[in-house]
Amino acid sequence: MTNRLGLDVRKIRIVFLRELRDQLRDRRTLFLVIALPVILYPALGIGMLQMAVVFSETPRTVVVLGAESLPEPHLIEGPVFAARWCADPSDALRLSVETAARIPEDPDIGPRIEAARKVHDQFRQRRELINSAAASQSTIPESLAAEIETVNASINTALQDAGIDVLVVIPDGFAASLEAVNRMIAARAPSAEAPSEYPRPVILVNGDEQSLIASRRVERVFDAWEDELLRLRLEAAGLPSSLPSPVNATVVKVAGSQHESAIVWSKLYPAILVVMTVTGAFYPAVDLAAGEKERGTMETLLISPARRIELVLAKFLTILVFSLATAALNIISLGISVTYMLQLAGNVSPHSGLTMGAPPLAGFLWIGVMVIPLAALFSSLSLALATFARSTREGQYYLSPLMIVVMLMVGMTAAPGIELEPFHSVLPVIGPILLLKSLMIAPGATESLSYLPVVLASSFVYAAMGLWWAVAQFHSETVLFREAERFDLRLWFRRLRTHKPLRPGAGAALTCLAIGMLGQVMLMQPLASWLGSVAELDRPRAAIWALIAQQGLLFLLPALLLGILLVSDWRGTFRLHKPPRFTIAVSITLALALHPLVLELMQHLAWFFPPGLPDGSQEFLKAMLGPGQPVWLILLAVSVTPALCEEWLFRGYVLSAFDRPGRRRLAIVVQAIAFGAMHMIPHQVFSATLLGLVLGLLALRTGSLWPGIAFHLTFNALAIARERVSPPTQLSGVTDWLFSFDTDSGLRYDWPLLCFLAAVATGLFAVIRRWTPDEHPS
Amino acid sequence: MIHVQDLSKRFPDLQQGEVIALDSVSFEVSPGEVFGLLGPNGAGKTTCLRILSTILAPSSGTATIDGHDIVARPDAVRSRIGFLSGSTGLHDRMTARETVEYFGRLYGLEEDELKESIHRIFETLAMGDFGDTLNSRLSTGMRQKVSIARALVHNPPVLIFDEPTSGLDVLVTRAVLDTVARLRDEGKCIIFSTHVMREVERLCDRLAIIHRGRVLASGSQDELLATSDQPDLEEHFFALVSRYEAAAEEIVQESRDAVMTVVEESSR
Repeated sequence: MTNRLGLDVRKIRIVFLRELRDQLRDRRTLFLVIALPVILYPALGIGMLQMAVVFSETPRTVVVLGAESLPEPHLIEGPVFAARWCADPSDALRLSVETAARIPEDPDIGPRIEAARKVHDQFRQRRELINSAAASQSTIPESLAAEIETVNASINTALQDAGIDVLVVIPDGFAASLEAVNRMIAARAPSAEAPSEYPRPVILVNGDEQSLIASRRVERVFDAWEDELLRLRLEAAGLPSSLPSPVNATVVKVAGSQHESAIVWSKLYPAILVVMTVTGAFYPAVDLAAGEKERGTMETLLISPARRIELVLAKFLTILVFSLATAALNIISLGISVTYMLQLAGNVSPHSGLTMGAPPLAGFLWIGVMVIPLAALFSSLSLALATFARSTREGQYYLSPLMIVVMLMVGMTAAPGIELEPFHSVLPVIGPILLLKSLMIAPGATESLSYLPVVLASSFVYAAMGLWWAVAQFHSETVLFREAERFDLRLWFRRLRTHKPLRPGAGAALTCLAIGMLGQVMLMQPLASWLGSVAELDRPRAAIWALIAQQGLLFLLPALLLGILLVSDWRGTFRLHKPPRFTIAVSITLALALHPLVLELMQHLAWFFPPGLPDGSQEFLKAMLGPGQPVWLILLAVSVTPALCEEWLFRGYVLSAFDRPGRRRLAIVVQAIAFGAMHMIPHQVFSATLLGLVLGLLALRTGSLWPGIAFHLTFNALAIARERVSPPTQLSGVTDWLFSFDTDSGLRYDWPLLCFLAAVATGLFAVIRRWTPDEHPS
Repeated sequence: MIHVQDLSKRFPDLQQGEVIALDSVSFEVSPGEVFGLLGPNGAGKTTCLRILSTILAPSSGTATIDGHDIVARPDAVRSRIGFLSGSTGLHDRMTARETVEYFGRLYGLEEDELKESIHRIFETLAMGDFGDTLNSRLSTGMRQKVSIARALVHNPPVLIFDEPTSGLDVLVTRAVLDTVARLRDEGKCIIFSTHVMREVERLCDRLAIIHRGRVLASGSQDELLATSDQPDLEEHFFALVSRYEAAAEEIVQESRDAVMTVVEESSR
């Protein structure tokens, strides 16, 4: 019973059912996957309720100096702020107010008031420092800033040592100053005489988290009190109380509480969903793959008539079932627990502002849809990782890195600015989460729904890639029969030297790529600050030389060193032999034909990619490559150097590392993706990957690096020519038929020309594909 | 039935660069015959049998089993062999019966066919009392019986036993050897690898002595002894192995001398 792929569905079903039963008989898996979520959330909820009941907040200490200068109405009543200034009357009890007047009733206050006075003295010094600087100069000099910083630190320490969370200093005669202003306003005296500048109260806060919360409460109290003072002032002057707020717009939330809770759920659920699909997939995967090796049953399975791909699919399906079940149980249990707890909390304190409804039902439907691609991806990834592991213990080591990567992706989607865009929709994990978020907030929104096919399709492609990796792992003898080898660094180094292989290994190639990638990122900041120190006029030229140096340092040098150190046939690795001349000619012609085509393609796909560089960098780039610089220098930086360095690394070292008989196409694709990824900016990543495919083909078909260099050089030079040579804006005759011109993107190519170029390129590809290189020279 | 021609297997190795686990091994086995692979631990027996069971791919050479090439038709080969080795473990969370049923179904047996086969095998191996016990609760001997039942369930024409008696007590060893003998009498084609001389003497019609991946000698016991001046198989085996080691040492010494000569000459 085999289907078109040659897979025996019956065998897959038999293995799947066995694996499922096996997992269901495993108490640890059952507990982790099923029992834990059902118990965890209600238990957590109960625990939190108990915490809330048992622990009441200890009141924070607010010291008020100069309380006797406070005007009416009373800000302070006994040991607390008057309840009428607090939105929630119980808030008043959370702040213990200490004034000099209370020393007789509570002697502990005395030392604190004393400390507060000292702090106040320090603060006065600080103010004098700032005032003196402000009087002499427009900006505060660095030495003074450091001094202020020191005083700040010492004030902070003093407050912490004295146990003062917030210190309020009311200046002497504050009530009198206020009264004077009030009288003046009531008498409608000319505003010029109004003493608007009088000492104001100061609120000092130490840096503790608790103190910051306390200070926010104090500020709210002061706001409410100030509003009342203002009202009294206006009343005394016979003015309307609406005077200070001529606009006072009304905010009406039309979305309703249902929508607000949907937003909260849309933040909570995708994260839980991702974590739980990973967890639910990973532990069964470790048991099904690494565990099978550890217990010695892997070989028993391999000699069964089921093919390896059938075994992998059956195991994958089992893991998928557990991943889905874990996610579903967690989502439901969390939903019920949180809803119930919030209702309970709402009943206990109706003012808490937690009026959250149950998660929306339509949202659940979408979770049900989006969980499938996520679970499929994580199941296949977990299976591949777990197959690679020798033992269950080693398998479990791989969970943390996977989880960290996944959580970073979830974190990215939590940033408020990130929305579902075409580019995001094709990213793994990020696409499904963003889509789920938007669908949970607005279940029927057509814009979100239009992304659904793309997100699902790309997610399944990623899952299929993961599955393909798992199958590859299952076919690898070194993975399946990995012995516990002793890893000895010295031995390893010696072997690297004495047993140089003909071609580099994948590990060395990945090292080269990592150096290139990390180097680019790490050099960004130092380069930017170095350029900042260069005089503005010389900056573009300095940047050009930095670009040249960077390519040599990050692409050429590592590959060169590793090539000479680790590979016996480094000439063959870098494909240094001379190709026939016509291959160079064909490559240059191909570049001439492809450049306009790629340009047009990128113009048409511009909507898909997020904006690459910020405007500032874009302008700098223009200045760098613009007419201010000599053409030879720009050609050197943007055409010659990349052609040499990038070809050396990608079509030389990396392609040779991955190129093995039987997987040449894969090698081309891998190096092209690496080449693309190195370009960082999304639209460049795409176009560079495409060109990487062409360059990889050239390198393999000619067995030489030179045609690729010729292609690369020509292609990049054309890009510069397009920037530098301003075409005639008036077109006529044949040229009008072939070109068009628009002000946004400059010279454009018309369809007849593009069709002709496409035909030329297709013809050249046909020629190139027929070339057979005389390669692998001994 | 089994036809092995110049089979070689090389593994990459961190310490030695490349390890040749199997070096041009050839032999043939006919139905109704037990062919012994005799060799010390690490001789390459397991690698050879893993290649025959299609778990590993050969680096070079060919082998056919029941007319099917192990590289071109691995699926067909696997369905025609019963394989048993020290590293074919059992799933702990399954019972003996479930294990055998599971593999029977994978081999494509119909339900009634499967039932009958299991009944017959359980009877002959006396597995009735622990058929429904979880494998994790079985003794080593019982587990080996389950493994044998697992390998026999689809009544394969070819059986490959890789050290099937290692770690077993005297009683179970005898039962296993009896089973192998009975299977030979049923006309099965059997490869039996071991490092125990007595088992070979008792069971094998023909054998190959294998050491460091190479077949040092092969033939029936009488043929082997006829070419040797040793009194019995065990002595013959030792003689072969030590002669091989001495020759290898000589080669190493010669090449070392040659290198030294070159070095000395060049330094002169």
